[in-house]
Amino acid sequence: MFWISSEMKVKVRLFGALRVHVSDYDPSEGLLVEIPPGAAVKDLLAHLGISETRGAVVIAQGRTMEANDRLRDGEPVDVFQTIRGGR
Amino acid sequence: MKFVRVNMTHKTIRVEDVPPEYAGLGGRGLTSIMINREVPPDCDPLGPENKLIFAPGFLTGTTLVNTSRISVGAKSPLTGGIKESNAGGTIGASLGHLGITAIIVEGQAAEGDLSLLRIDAQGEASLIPAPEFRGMRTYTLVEKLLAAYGEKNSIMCIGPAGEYQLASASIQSTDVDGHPCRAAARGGMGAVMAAKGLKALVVDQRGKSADAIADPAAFKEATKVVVEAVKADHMSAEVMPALGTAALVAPVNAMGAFPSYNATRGQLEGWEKISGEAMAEIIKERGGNPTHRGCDQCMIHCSNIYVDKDGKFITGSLEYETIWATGGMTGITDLDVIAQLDHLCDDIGLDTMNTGVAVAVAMDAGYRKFGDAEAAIAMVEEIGKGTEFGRILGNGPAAVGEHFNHPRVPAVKRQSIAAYDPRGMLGNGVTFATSPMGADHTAGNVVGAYLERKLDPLNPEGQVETSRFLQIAMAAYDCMGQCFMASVALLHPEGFGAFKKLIEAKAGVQLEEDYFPFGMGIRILKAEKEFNRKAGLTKKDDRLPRFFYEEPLPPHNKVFVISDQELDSVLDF
Ligand code: SF4
Repeated sequence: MFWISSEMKVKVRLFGALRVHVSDYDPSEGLLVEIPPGAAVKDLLAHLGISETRGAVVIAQGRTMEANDRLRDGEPVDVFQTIRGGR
Repeated sequence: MKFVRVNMTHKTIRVEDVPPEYAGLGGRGLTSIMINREVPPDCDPLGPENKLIFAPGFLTGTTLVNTSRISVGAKSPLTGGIKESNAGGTIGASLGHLGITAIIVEGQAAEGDLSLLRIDAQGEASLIPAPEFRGMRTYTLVEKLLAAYGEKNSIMCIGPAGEYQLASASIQSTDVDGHPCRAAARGGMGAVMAAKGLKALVVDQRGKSADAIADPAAFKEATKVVVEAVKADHMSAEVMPALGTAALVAPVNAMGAFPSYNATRGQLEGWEKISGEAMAEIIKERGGNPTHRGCDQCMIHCSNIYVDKDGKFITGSLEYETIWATGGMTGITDLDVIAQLDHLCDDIGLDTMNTGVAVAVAMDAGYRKFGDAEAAIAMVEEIGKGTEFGRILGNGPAAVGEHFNHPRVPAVKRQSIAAYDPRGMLGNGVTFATSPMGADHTAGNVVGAYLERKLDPLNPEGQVETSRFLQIAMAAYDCMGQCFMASVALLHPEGFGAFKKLIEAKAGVQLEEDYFPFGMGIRILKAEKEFNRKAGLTKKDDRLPRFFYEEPLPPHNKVFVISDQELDSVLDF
């Protein structure tokens, strides 16, 4: 019997002060995260251990995503922390 | 609570108690209401009738955190309207500790006459002839002044750009290390200071005559609320200390709203190299400081010290808007060059935003190629030298557009936009168009609402209301002397309530329920709009340049779609 991986792979880049979560994070490579198919943004954040108080926001294809938006296999996403404008 | 009125025509100084009509005001509220009251709106901004007002916030000089901001106000030679330009550093706190509510510089010295204004630890003010400092750049000037008057002084000063009376001339302010790397940059306040015949303010930091607090216990209570809110906010507690405002490069670029190559694209090739993340790495590797306390009483530390490969100081407080203007807009993706441009602007006394965008407009017009770092440095040096082209460039992007007959000039009321393209973040376009200050990054910056997903940046719905709310709230916070980073952690009823209590506790008064921020913010905006109207600005000046309505911005390929009617409703109080 063949074993088929049921996980999907999402390429994730981390920004702001979120990189500290991952030891030896390589900014040019990002992370390849394996999560169950159909996983949503909030599942990814939980998987990465990023709590709500960190103000994380996921952006893909130039748009911010909602917590319940589903991720797609192979689609790269960027995780930022929200900021309210700067000088 | 006193005013120091300095008359440059007669070289006299008069100290007076704050008259009742200005009671309870500070910072932008004081500068704007005073300008609207005392400055003839049709006056020449560089003539004797204009007034240059330095006003720390109402709460500056108290024990409240993050309150060492100072507002500098006058009629602007850039916009032709009212201007409040806000700076950090130490001078706000120094004046606050002396109980000085404002320095009001009036009249005009005889041509060729140059002075500095010294205020000692007792609050004694004197005008001192300063011909030896003519033409001097700010870093050298500050070094000499600190050597002459002692390290424990705060300085605000102008460089050559101010002395040439250019519309992008800033007033530079010293940080906690005595570097003139902070600025009241916008609106040509440096030119107004030069026109008065004033090269520098030198204020002793050891004053001990701060305003009394009417109810210290209540003040302390409310302070706690502010401190807790700042500590609990991930932006002020985590992101700003780690990366500073440069943290915005990555998300704004990711959202396709990072105006690049003179606002012809919303994403910059090579943005990774100039991101806040990259900057923090470089600074750490080289032994600089990515988490610097730029201003007095700061508990956030959004500032930084950027050093070269040998660990030598290049610039302090390298910030998002500067990185964008001198990098994103020009297509320059080398942080060392950007840091050098920032230093040059500080040293010559220039608004980095207006200057970077002016360089970008020149590049877009074909004068030089995008990405040409050497050309950018040479151009800014020309401003310092006062060459003919340098003077055009130093008057900002609108002047450069006129020179080259080039229509793509991203400016409102002749002031350059900030680092959020109105086609990718509609609400920022609303603020750029309608702020009485001209296009501005702190007067009502909507970027947070987009990142927090409270608002869709590309959908017109809610943009006007959000811009209005933020413009009111920021106008009120700009009166307090509180820095922007702390203010945006307090944009909620609890924060507003704490500030109402702080004002009440300091002044010993009882305020109406919605005084902060609404009563106060609207009062200020009204005064500013009234001045602008009397100065001859019309609704037509509350519009974005044509190309934002006509040229779609990649990657979203959208144009600006908020109607004129809606723009007119934003501050229609
Ligand atoms: S957070 Fe930044 S701008 Fe605010 S007081 Fe601190 S160093 Fe100054």
